[in-house]
Amino acid sequence: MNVAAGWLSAALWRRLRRCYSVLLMLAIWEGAARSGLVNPFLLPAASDVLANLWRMLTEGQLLYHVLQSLMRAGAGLGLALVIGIPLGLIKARSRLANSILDPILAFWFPVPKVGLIPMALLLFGLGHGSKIALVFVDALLPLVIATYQGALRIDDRLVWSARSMGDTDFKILSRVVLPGTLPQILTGFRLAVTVSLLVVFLAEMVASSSGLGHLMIYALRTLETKDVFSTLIAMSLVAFIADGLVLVLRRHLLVWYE
Amino acid sequence: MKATAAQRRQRDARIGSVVSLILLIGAWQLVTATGLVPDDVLPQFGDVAVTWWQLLVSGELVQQTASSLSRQATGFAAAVVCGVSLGIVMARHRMVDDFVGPLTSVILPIPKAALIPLVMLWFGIGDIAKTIIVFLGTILPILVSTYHGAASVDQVYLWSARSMGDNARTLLWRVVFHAALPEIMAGVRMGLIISLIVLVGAEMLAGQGGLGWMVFFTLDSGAYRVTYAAMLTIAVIGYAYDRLFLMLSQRVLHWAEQNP
Repeated sequence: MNVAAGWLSAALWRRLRRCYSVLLMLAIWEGAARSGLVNPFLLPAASDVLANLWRMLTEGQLLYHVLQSLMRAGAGLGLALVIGIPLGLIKARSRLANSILDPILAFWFPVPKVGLIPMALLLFGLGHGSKIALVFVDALLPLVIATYQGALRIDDRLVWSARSMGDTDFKILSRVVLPGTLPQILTGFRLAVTVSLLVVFLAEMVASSSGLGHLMIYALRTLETKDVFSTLIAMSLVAFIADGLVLVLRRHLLVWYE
Repeated sequence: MKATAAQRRQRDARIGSVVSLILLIGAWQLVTATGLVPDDVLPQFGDVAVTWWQLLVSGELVQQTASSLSRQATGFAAAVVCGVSLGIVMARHRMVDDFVGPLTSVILPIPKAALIPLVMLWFGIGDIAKTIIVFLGTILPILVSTYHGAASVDQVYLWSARSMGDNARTLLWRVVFHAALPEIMAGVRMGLIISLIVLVGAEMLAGQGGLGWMVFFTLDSGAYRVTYAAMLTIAVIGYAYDRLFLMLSQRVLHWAEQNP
Protein backbone atom coordinates (compact mmCIF):
# COMPACT_ATOMS: atom_id res chain seq x y z
CA MET A 1 0.00 0.00 0.00
CA ASN A 2 2.73 2.35 1.04
CA VAL A 3 4.87 1.27 -1.87
CA ALA A 4 1.99 1.81 -4.26
CA ALA A 5 1.35 5.26 -2.87
CA GLY A 6 5.03 6.08 -3.11
CA TRP A 7 5.15 4.90 -6.70
CA LEU A 8 2.04 6.86 -7.54
CA SER A 9 3.40 10.07 -6.11
CA ALA A 10 6.72 9.49 -7.90
CA ALA A 11 4.91 9.07 -11.21
CA LEU A 12 2.82 12.15 -10.48
CA TRP A 13 5.90 14.11 -9.58
CA ARG A 14 7.60 13.06 -12.80
CA ARG A 15 4.60 14.22 -14.81
CA LEU A 16 4.37 17.46 -12.94
CA ARG A 17 8.06 18.19 -13.36
CA ARG A 18 7.69 17.93 -17.12
CA CYS A 19 4.78 20.31 -17.42
CA TYR A 20 4.86 22.73 -14.52
CA SER A 21 6.66 25.42 -16.53
CA VAL A 22 3.95 25.41 -19.20
CA LEU A 23 1.21 25.64 -16.56
CA LEU A 24 3.15 28.39 -14.80
CA MET A 25 3.47 30.39 -18.00
CA LEU A 26 -0.22 29.97 -18.75
CA ALA A 27 -1.06 31.15 -15.24
CA ILE A 28 1.24 34.18 -15.58
CA TRP A 29 -0.29 34.99 -18.98
CA GLU A 30 -3.81 34.73 -17.58
CA GLY A 31 -2.97 36.63 -14.42
CA ALA A 32 -1.14 39.44 -16.18
CA ALA A 33 -4.02 40.01 -18.58
CA ARG A 34 -6.78 39.70 -15.96
CA SER A 35 -5.13 41.97 -13.40
CA GLY A 36 -4.60 44.67 -16.01
CA LEU A 37 -0.82 44.49 -15.50
CA VAL A 38 -0.50 44.34 -19.26
CA ASN A 39 -2.95 45.88 -21.66
CA PRO A 40 -5.46 43.15 -22.52
CA PHE A 41 -5.61 44.67 -25.99
CA LEU A 42 -1.99 43.68 -26.54
CA LEU A 43 -2.23 40.40 -24.65
CA PRO A 44 -5.76 39.05 -24.18
CA ALA A 45 -6.16 36.51 -21.38
CA ALA A 46 -5.50 32.89 -22.33
CA SER A 47 -9.03 31.84 -21.44
CA ASP A 48 -10.49 34.62 -23.60
CA VAL A 49 -8.32 33.54 -26.52
CA LEU A 50 -9.51 29.95 -26.21
CA ALA A 51 -13.16 30.98 -25.87
CA ASN A 52 -12.71 33.21 -28.88
CA LEU A 53 -11.20 30.33 -30.83
CA TRP A 54 -14.26 28.25 -30.04
CA ARG A 55 -16.52 31.12 -31.10
CA MET A 56 -14.64 31.49 -34.40
CA LEU A 57 -14.97 27.78 -34.96
CA THR A 58 -18.68 27.54 -34.26
CA GLU A 59 -19.99 30.92 -35.38
CA GLY A 60 -17.25 32.26 -37.62
CA GLN A 61 -15.65 30.85 -40.70
CA LEU A 62 -12.54 29.41 -39.14
CA LEU A 63 -13.12 25.98 -40.62
CA TYR A 64 -13.51 27.44 -44.10
CA HIS A 65 -10.15 29.23 -43.82
CA VAL A 66 -8.45 26.16 -42.39
CA LEU A 67 -9.69 24.12 -45.34
CA GLN A 68 -8.54 26.77 -47.83
CA SER A 69 -5.04 26.71 -46.35
CA LEU A 70 -4.97 22.94 -46.19
CA MET A 71 -6.15 22.59 -49.78
CA ARG A 72 -3.42 24.90 -51.08
CA ALA A 73 -0.71 23.26 -49.00
CA GLY A 74 -1.99 19.81 -49.95
CA ALA A 75 -2.10 20.54 -53.68
CA GLY A 76 1.42 21.99 -53.70
CA LEU A 77 2.71 19.12 -51.59
CA GLY A 78 1.03 16.54 -53.85
CA LEU A 79 2.63 18.08 -56.93
CA ALA A 80 5.99 18.12 -55.18
CA LEU A 81 5.61 14.41 -54.32
CA VAL A 82 4.65 13.45 -57.85
CA ILE A 83 7.57 15.33 -59.38
CA GLY A 84 10.13 15.27 -56.58
CA ILE A 85 10.33 11.52 -55.98
CA PRO A 86 10.93 10.54 -59.63
CA LEU A 87 13.43 13.40 -59.93
CA GLY A 88 15.33 12.11 -56.91
CA LEU A 89 15.36 8.56 -58.30
CA ILE A 90 16.60 9.73 -61.70
CA LYS A 91 19.26 11.85 -60.05
CA ALA A 92 20.50 8.82 -58.13
CA ARG A 93 20.58 6.55 -61.19
CA SER A 94 21.94 8.82 -63.91
CA ARG A 95 25.31 10.59 -63.77
CA LEU A 96 24.25 13.08 -66.43
CA ALA A 97 21.06 14.06 -64.63
CA ASN A 98 23.02 14.35 -61.42
CA SER A 99 25.63 16.70 -62.85
CA ILE A 100 22.91 18.97 -64.24
CA LEU A 101 20.58 18.87 -61.25
CA ASP A 102 23.20 19.14 -58.53
CA PRO A 103 24.22 22.76 -59.10
CA ILE A 104 20.58 23.81 -59.50
CA LEU A 105 19.68 22.19 -56.20
CA ALA A 106 22.76 23.56 -54.45
CA PHE A 107 21.80 27.03 -55.58
CA TRP A 108 18.10 26.64 -54.95
CA PHE A 109 18.25 25.07 -51.50
CA PRO A 110 19.32 28.05 -49.36
CA VAL A 111 17.42 30.66 -51.40
CA PRO A 112 14.56 32.14 -49.37
CA LYS A 113 11.81 31.23 -51.77
CA VAL A 114 9.27 33.56 -50.18
CA GLY A 115 11.15 36.24 -52.10
CA LEU A 116 9.42 34.76 -55.14
CA ILE A 117 5.93 35.64 -53.89
CA PRO A 118 5.67 38.58 -56.35
CA MET A 119 6.68 36.35 -59.25
CA ALA A 120 4.11 33.75 -58.24
CA LEU A 121 1.48 36.50 -58.05
CA LEU A 122 2.38 37.78 -61.51
CA LEU A 123 2.37 34.33 -63.03
CA PHE A 124 -0.57 32.71 -61.26
CA GLY A 125 -2.68 35.52 -59.87
CA LEU A 126 -4.00 36.21 -56.39
CA GLY A 127 -5.99 32.99 -56.01
CA HIS A 128 -5.02 29.41 -55.28
CA GLY A 129 -2.48 29.14 -58.11
CA SER A 130 0.20 31.37 -56.64
CA LYS A 131 0.10 29.68 -53.23
CA ILE A 132 0.17 26.19 -54.72
CA ALA A 133 3.16 27.17 -56.86
CA LEU A 134 5.03 28.58 -53.87
CA VAL A 135 4.36 25.51 -51.75
CA PHE A 136 5.47 23.35 -54.65
CA VAL A 137 8.87 25.04 -55.10
CA ASP A 138 9.49 24.97 -51.37
CA ALA A 139 8.41 21.38 -50.75
CA LEU A 140 10.14 20.00 -53.83
CA LEU A 141 13.71 20.30 -52.60
CA PRO A 142 13.53 18.32 -49.36
CA LEU A 143 11.76 15.54 -51.27
CA VAL A 144 14.27 15.39 -54.13
CA ILE A 145 17.25 15.46 -51.80
CA ALA A 146 15.81 12.84 -49.43
CA THR A 147 14.81 10.50 -52.27
CA TYR A 148 18.23 10.89 -53.85
CA GLN A 149 20.08 10.09 -50.65
CA GLY A 150 17.82 7.14 -49.94
CA ALA A 151 18.14 5.69 -53.43
CA LEU A 152 21.93 5.95 -53.28
CA ARG A 153 21.95 3.69 -50.23
CA ILE A 154 20.09 0.82 -51.87
CA ASP A 155 22.15 -2.32 -51.98
CA ASP A 156 23.04 -3.05 -55.62
CA ARG A 157 22.72 -6.78 -54.92
CA LEU A 158 18.98 -6.35 -54.30
CA VAL A 159 18.59 -4.83 -57.76
CA TRP A 160 20.75 -7.53 -59.34
CA SER A 161 18.85 -10.38 -57.78
CA ALA A 162 15.51 -8.88 -58.77
CA ARG A 163 16.79 -8.54 -62.32
CA SER A 164 18.18 -12.07 -62.39
CA MET A 165 14.75 -13.30 -61.38
CA GLY A 166 13.34 -11.62 -64.43
CA ASP A 167 11.79 -8.44 -63.03
CA THR A 168 11.26 -5.63 -65.49
CA ASP A 169 12.80 -2.23 -64.86
CA PHE A 170 9.47 -0.79 -63.78
CA LYS A 171 8.93 -3.64 -61.36
CA ILE A 172 12.38 -3.21 -59.90
CA LEU A 173 11.68 0.46 -59.41
CA SER A 174 8.31 -0.04 -57.76
CA ARG A 175 9.06 -3.20 -55.78
CA VAL A 176 12.71 -2.79 -54.81
CA VAL A 177 13.99 0.75 -55.13
CA LEU A 178 10.94 2.67 -53.96
CA PRO A 179 10.27 0.62 -50.79
CA GLY A 180 13.98 0.68 -49.98
CA THR A 181 13.99 4.46 -50.25
CA LEU A 182 10.81 4.95 -48.25
CA PRO A 183 12.41 5.74 -44.89
CA GLN A 184 14.38 8.65 -46.34
CA ILE A 185 11.44 9.80 -48.45
CA LEU A 186 9.29 10.00 -45.34
CA THR A 187 11.95 11.99 -43.51
CA GLY A 188 11.99 14.45 -46.41
CA PHE A 189 8.20 14.40 -46.48
CA ARG A 190 8.02 15.43 -42.84
CA LEU A 191 10.21 18.46 -43.48
CA ALA A 192 8.21 19.22 -46.62
CA VAL A 193 4.94 19.24 -44.67
CA THR A 194 6.31 21.69 -42.09
CA VAL A 195 7.71 23.94 -44.81
CA SER A 196 4.47 23.82 -46.85
CA LEU A 197 2.40 25.11 -43.96
CA LEU A 198 4.92 27.84 -43.16
CA VAL A 199 4.92 28.98 -46.79
CA VAL A 200 1.18 28.80 -47.32
CA PHE A 201 0.50 30.87 -44.19
CA LEU A 202 3.11 33.44 -45.14
CA ALA A 203 1.87 33.72 -48.73
CA GLU A 204 -1.69 34.12 -47.48
CA MET A 205 -0.60 36.92 -45.18
CA VAL A 206 1.06 38.80 -48.01
CA ALA A 207 -1.70 38.46 -50.60
CA SER A 208 -4.88 36.49 -50.23
CA SER A 209 -8.52 36.85 -49.37
CA SER A 210 -8.86 33.53 -47.56
CA GLY A 211 -6.92 31.04 -45.51
CA LEU A 212 -5.51 31.21 -41.98
CA GLY A 213 -2.71 33.58 -42.97
CA HIS A 214 -5.22 36.03 -44.38
CA LEU A 215 -7.38 35.65 -41.28
CA MET A 216 -4.46 36.54 -39.04
CA ILE A 217 -3.20 39.57 -40.94
CA TYR A 218 -6.79 40.79 -41.39
CA ALA A 219 -7.33 40.51 -37.64
CA LEU A 220 -4.15 42.52 -37.06
CA ARG A 221 -5.15 45.25 -39.53
CA THR A 222 -8.63 45.56 -38.03
CA LEU A 223 -7.09 45.44 -34.53
CA GLU A 224 -9.11 42.41 -33.46
CA THR A 225 -6.22 41.27 -31.33
CA LYS A 226 -8.08 38.35 -29.81
CA ASP A 227 -8.54 36.94 -33.29
CA VAL A 228 -4.78 37.28 -33.92
CA PHE A 229 -4.06 35.06 -30.94
CA SER A 230 -6.84 32.58 -31.67
CA THR A 231 -5.65 32.22 -35.27
CA LEU A 232 -2.12 31.67 -34.03
CA ILE A 233 -3.37 28.81 -31.89
CA ALA A 234 -5.38 27.41 -34.81
CA MET A 235 -2.27 27.54 -37.04
CA SER A 236 -0.15 25.80 -34.43
CA LEU A 237 -2.78 23.10 -33.95
CA VAL A 238 -2.98 22.49 -37.70
CA ALA A 239 0.82 22.22 -37.91
CA PHE A 240 0.99 20.01 -34.84
CA ILE A 241 -1.70 17.63 -36.08
CA ALA A 242 -0.21 17.47 -39.58
CA ASP A 243 3.17 16.55 -38.13
CA GLY A 244 1.56 13.94 -35.89
CA LEU A 245 -0.22 12.38 -38.86
CA VAL A 246 3.07 12.14 -40.76
CA LEU A 247 4.59 10.31 -37.80
CA VAL A 248 1.63 7.91 -37.64
CA LEU A 249 1.94 7.29 -41.37
CA ARG A 250 5.63 6.65 -40.93
CA ARG A 251 5.07 4.08 -38.20
CA HIS A 252 2.43 2.43 -40.37
CA LEU A 253 4.49 2.22 -43.53
CA LEU A 254 7.75 1.36 -41.88
CA VAL A 255 6.81 -1.48 -39.60
CA TRP A 256 9.67 -3.46 -41.11
CA TYR A 257 12.19 -0.69 -40.55
CA GLU A 258 13.98 0.42 -37.37
CA MET B 1 49.46 13.45 -65.42
CA LYS B 2 46.16 11.75 -64.83
CA ALA B 3 43.51 13.41 -62.75
CA THR B 4 42.37 11.55 -59.67
CA ALA B 5 38.76 10.48 -59.30
CA ALA B 6 38.09 13.27 -56.83
CA GLN B 7 39.54 15.90 -59.14
CA ARG B 8 37.51 14.55 -62.01
CA ARG B 9 34.34 14.68 -59.94
CA GLN B 10 35.09 18.25 -58.96
CA ARG B 11 35.69 19.19 -62.58
CA ASP B 12 32.43 17.50 -63.60
CA ALA B 13 30.57 19.43 -60.94
CA ARG B 14 32.07 22.71 -62.09
CA ILE B 15 31.17 22.04 -65.74
CA GLY B 16 27.70 20.95 -64.65
CA SER B 17 27.08 24.14 -62.73
CA VAL B 18 28.18 26.36 -65.62
CA VAL B 19 26.06 24.37 -68.08
CA SER B 20 22.95 24.45 -65.92
CA LEU B 21 23.36 28.18 -65.26
CA ILE B 22 23.60 28.84 -69.01
CA LEU B 23 20.59 26.58 -69.63
CA LEU B 24 18.49 28.43 -67.05
CA ILE B 25 19.34 31.90 -68.28
CA GLY B 26 18.97 30.74 -71.88
CA ALA B 27 15.51 29.31 -71.19
CA TRP B 28 14.51 32.53 -69.42
CA GLN B 29 15.72 34.69 -72.32
CA LEU B 30 14.10 32.37 -74.86
CA VAL B 31 10.58 32.33 -73.42
CA THR B 32 10.61 36.09 -72.90
CA ALA B 33 12.27 37.18 -76.15
CA THR B 34 9.87 35.08 -78.23
CA GLY B 35 6.93 36.57 -76.38
CA LEU B 36 5.83 33.20 -75.01
CA VAL B 37 5.65 34.82 -71.58
CA PRO B 38 4.54 38.47 -71.71
CA ASP B 39 6.95 41.17 -70.60
CA ASP B 40 4.77 42.33 -67.72
CA VAL B 41 4.89 38.87 -66.15
CA LEU B 42 8.52 37.99 -66.70
CA PRO B 43 10.82 40.68 -68.18
CA GLN B 44 13.73 39.62 -70.34
CA PHE B 45 16.84 38.53 -68.48
CA GLY B 46 18.96 41.16 -70.23
CA ASP B 47 16.65 43.95 -69.12
CA VAL B 48 16.64 42.72 -65.54
CA ALA B 49 20.43 42.51 -65.55
CA VAL B 50 20.68 46.10 -66.81
CA THR B 51 18.22 47.30 -64.16
CA TRP B 52 20.16 45.42 -61.53
CA TRP B 53 23.37 47.16 -62.56
CA GLN B 54 21.69 50.58 -62.54
CA LEU B 55 20.30 49.96 -59.06
CA LEU B 56 23.71 48.85 -57.88
CA VAL B 57 25.46 51.92 -59.27
CA SER B 58 22.84 54.31 -57.90
CA GLY B 59 23.36 52.86 -54.42
CA GLU B 60 19.68 52.00 -53.96
CA LEU B 61 20.31 48.27 -53.97
CA VAL B 62 23.25 48.54 -51.59
CA GLN B 63 21.19 50.59 -49.17
CA GLN B 64 18.24 48.16 -49.10
CA THR B 65 20.55 45.16 -48.86
CA ALA B 66 22.41 46.76 -45.97
CA SER B 67 19.20 47.46 -44.11
CA SER B 68 17.99 43.87 -44.62
CA LEU B 69 21.29 42.34 -43.64
CA SER B 70 21.77 44.44 -40.53
CA ARG B 71 18.34 43.33 -39.23
CA GLN B 72 19.09 39.74 -40.10
CA ALA B 73 22.60 39.77 -38.65
CA THR B 74 21.57 41.31 -35.32
CA GLY B 75 18.65 38.96 -34.74
CA PHE B 76 20.51 35.94 -35.97
CA ALA B 77 23.66 36.59 -33.92
CA ALA B 78 21.57 37.07 -30.78
CA ALA B 79 19.71 33.83 -31.53
CA VAL B 80 22.97 31.90 -31.99
CA VAL B 81 24.44 33.18 -28.72
CA CYS B 82 21.26 32.61 -26.69
CA GLY B 83 20.27 29.36 -28.40
CA VAL B 84 23.66 27.70 -28.07
CA SER B 85 24.27 28.70 -24.46
CA LEU B 86 20.76 27.83 -23.36
CA GLY B 87 20.92 24.51 -25.23
CA ILE B 88 24.17 23.51 -23.55
CA VAL B 89 23.00 24.52 -20.09
CA MET B 90 19.73 22.65 -20.67
CA ALA B 91 21.54 19.48 -21.62
CA ARG B 92 23.75 19.57 -18.53
CA HIS B 93 21.34 20.81 -15.87
CA ARG B 94 18.19 18.86 -15.22
CA MET B 95 16.39 21.74 -13.53
CA VAL B 96 16.82 24.02 -16.53
CA ASP B 97 15.79 21.20 -18.82
CA ASP B 98 12.64 20.57 -16.81
CA PHE B 99 11.71 24.21 -17.10
CA VAL B 100 12.69 25.09 -20.68
CA GLY B 101 12.18 21.68 -22.34
CA PRO B 102 8.38 21.47 -22.11
CA LEU B 103 8.03 25.13 -23.12
CA THR B 104 10.16 24.45 -26.18
CA SER B 105 8.03 21.54 -27.27
CA VAL B 106 4.88 23.64 -26.93
CA ILE B 107 6.33 26.54 -28.94
CA LEU B 108 8.18 24.48 -31.57
CA PRO B 109 5.15 23.53 -33.73
CA ILE B 110 4.06 27.18 -34.14
CA PRO B 111 4.64 28.01 -37.82
CA LYS B 112 7.31 30.71 -37.84
CA ALA B 113 5.21 32.91 -40.13
CA ALA B 114 2.64 33.33 -37.37
CA LEU B 115 5.22 35.24 -35.32
CA ILE B 116 5.25 38.14 -37.78
CA PRO B 117 1.78 39.60 -37.02
CA LEU B 118 2.28 38.98 -33.32
CA VAL B 119 5.57 40.86 -33.18
CA MET B 120 4.09 43.62 -35.34
CA LEU B 121 1.33 43.97 -32.77
CA TRP B 122 3.77 44.27 -29.87
CA PHE B 123 6.75 46.06 -31.38
CA GLY B 124 5.42 47.86 -34.43
CA ILE B 125 6.98 47.76 -37.87
CA GLY B 126 10.45 49.20 -37.39
CA ASP B 127 13.93 47.70 -37.32
CA ILE B 128 13.54 46.40 -33.78
CA ALA B 129 10.40 44.43 -34.64
CA LYS B 130 12.10 42.75 -37.60
CA THR B 131 15.18 41.94 -35.59
CA ILE B 132 12.98 40.35 -32.94
CA ILE B 133 11.14 38.32 -35.58
CA VAL B 134 14.44 36.96 -36.88
CA PHE B 135 15.57 36.23 -33.33
CA LEU B 136 12.39 34.37 -32.37
CA GLY B 137 12.21 32.50 -35.66
CA THR B 138 15.74 31.16 -35.46
CA ILE B 139 16.44 30.55 -31.79
CA LEU B 140 14.42 27.33 -31.48
CA PRO B 141 16.07 25.25 -34.23
CA ILE B 142 19.47 26.31 -32.87
CA LEU B 143 18.45 25.59 -29.29
CA VAL B 144 17.01 22.16 -30.09
CA SER B 145 19.95 20.90 -32.10
CA THR B 146 22.45 22.24 -29.57
CA TYR B 147 20.53 20.45 -26.86
CA HIS B 148 20.61 17.15 -28.76
CA GLY B 149 24.30 17.56 -29.52
CA ALA B 150 25.23 18.44 -25.95
CA ALA B 151 23.02 15.77 -24.40
CA SER B 152 24.68 13.01 -26.41
CA VAL B 153 28.27 13.91 -25.52
CA ASP B 154 30.23 10.80 -24.67
CA GLN B 155 30.46 10.43 -20.88
CA VAL B 156 34.05 9.24 -21.23
CA TYR B 157 35.12 12.70 -22.43
CA LEU B 158 33.52 14.28 -19.39
CA TRP B 159 35.11 11.83 -16.99
CA SER B 160 38.55 12.23 -18.45
CA ALA B 161 38.32 16.02 -18.52
CA ARG B 162 37.18 16.03 -14.93
CA SER B 163 39.88 13.65 -13.84
CA MET B 164 42.40 15.98 -15.41
CA GLY B 165 41.12 18.75 -13.17
CA ASP B 166 38.73 20.74 -15.36
CA ASN B 167 36.17 22.62 -13.36
CA ALA B 168 32.52 22.82 -14.33
CA ARG B 169 32.81 25.95 -16.42
CA THR B 170 35.82 24.97 -18.50
CA LEU B 171 34.22 21.54 -18.88
CA LEU B 172 31.15 23.06 -20.50
CA TRP B 173 33.14 25.25 -22.82
CA ARG B 174 36.09 23.02 -23.69
CA VAL B 175 34.42 19.63 -23.83
CA VAL B 176 30.64 19.87 -24.19
CA PHE B 177 30.60 22.81 -26.60
CA HIS B 178 33.23 21.35 -28.87
CA ALA B 179 31.78 17.85 -28.87
CA ALA B 180 28.36 19.27 -29.74
CA LEU B 181 29.72 21.52 -32.47
CA PRO B 182 28.71 19.38 -35.48
CA GLU B 183 25.07 19.40 -34.39
CA ILE B 184 25.24 23.04 -33.37
CA MET B 185 26.44 23.93 -36.85
CA ALA B 186 23.61 21.92 -38.44
CA GLY B 187 21.09 23.84 -36.32
CA VAL B 188 22.74 27.16 -37.11
CA ARG B 189 22.51 26.43 -40.83
CA MET B 190 18.81 25.65 -40.49
CA GLY B 191 18.42 28.87 -38.50
CA LEU B 192 20.25 30.83 -41.18
CA ILE B 193 17.85 29.66 -43.87
CA ILE B 194 14.80 30.37 -41.70
CA SER B 195 16.15 33.81 -40.75
CA LEU B 196 16.10 34.95 -44.36
CA ILE B 197 12.60 33.53 -44.92
CA VAL B 198 11.02 35.30 -41.96
CA LEU B 199 12.96 38.49 -42.62
CA VAL B 200 11.81 38.75 -46.24
CA GLY B 201 8.25 37.88 -45.16
CA ALA B 202 8.31 40.53 -42.43
CA GLU B 203 9.65 43.17 -44.79
CA MET B 204 6.92 42.37 -47.29
CA LEU B 205 4.25 42.74 -44.62
CA ALA B 206 5.62 45.66 -42.63
CA GLY B 207 7.51 47.64 -45.26
CA GLN B 208 10.03 50.23 -43.98
CA GLY B 209 12.79 49.36 -46.43
CA GLY B 210 14.83 46.26 -47.07
CA LEU B 211 14.89 43.85 -49.99
CA GLY B 212 11.56 42.23 -49.12
CA TRP B 213 9.95 45.66 -49.15
CA MET B 214 11.66 46.51 -52.43
CA VAL B 215 10.39 43.35 -54.08
CA PHE B 216 6.85 43.80 -52.93
CA PHE B 217 6.29 47.52 -53.29
CA THR B 218 7.73 47.77 -56.78
CA LEU B 219 5.15 45.15 -57.70
CA ASP B 220 2.38 47.61 -56.87
CA SER B 221 3.88 50.34 -59.01
CA GLY B 222 4.42 47.97 -61.92
CA ALA B 223 8.21 48.34 -61.98
CA TYR B 224 8.62 44.64 -62.62
CA ARG B 225 12.25 44.87 -63.67
CA VAL B 226 13.12 46.26 -60.26
CA THR B 227 11.02 43.51 -58.68
CA TYR B 228 12.98 40.84 -60.47
CA ALA B 229 16.31 42.53 -59.85
CA ALA B 230 15.58 42.61 -56.12
CA MET B 231 14.35 38.99 -56.18
CA LEU B 232 17.59 37.91 -57.83
CA THR B 233 19.53 39.79 -55.17
CA ILE B 234 17.66 37.93 -52.43
CA ALA B 235 18.40 34.61 -54.13
CA VAL B 236 22.10 35.42 -54.51
CA ILE B 237 22.36 36.55 -50.89
CA GLY B 238 20.74 33.33 -49.69
CA TYR B 239 23.12 31.26 -51.76
CA ALA B 240 26.26 33.23 -50.89
CA TYR B 241 25.39 33.18 -47.20
CA ASP B 242 24.97 29.41 -47.24
CA ARG B 243 28.25 28.89 -49.13
CA LEU B 244 30.04 31.13 -46.66
CA PHE B 245 28.57 29.19 -43.80
CA LEU B 246 29.56 25.83 -45.29
CA MET B 247 33.12 27.08 -45.73
CA LEU B 248 33.23 28.25 -42.14
CA SER B 249 31.77 25.03 -40.86
CA GLN B 250 34.27 22.93 -42.81
CA ARG B 251 37.05 24.94 -41.25
CA VAL B 252 35.65 24.65 -37.74
CA LEU B 253 34.74 21.01 -38.07
CA HIS B 254 37.77 19.73 -39.97
CA TRP B 255 38.34 17.24 -37.16
CA ALA B 256 34.82 15.79 -37.28
CA GLU B 257 33.73 13.12 -39.73
CA GLN B 258 32.14 14.80 -42.69
CA ASN B 259 28.69 13.68 -43.66
CA PRO B 260 28.41 12.88 -47.35
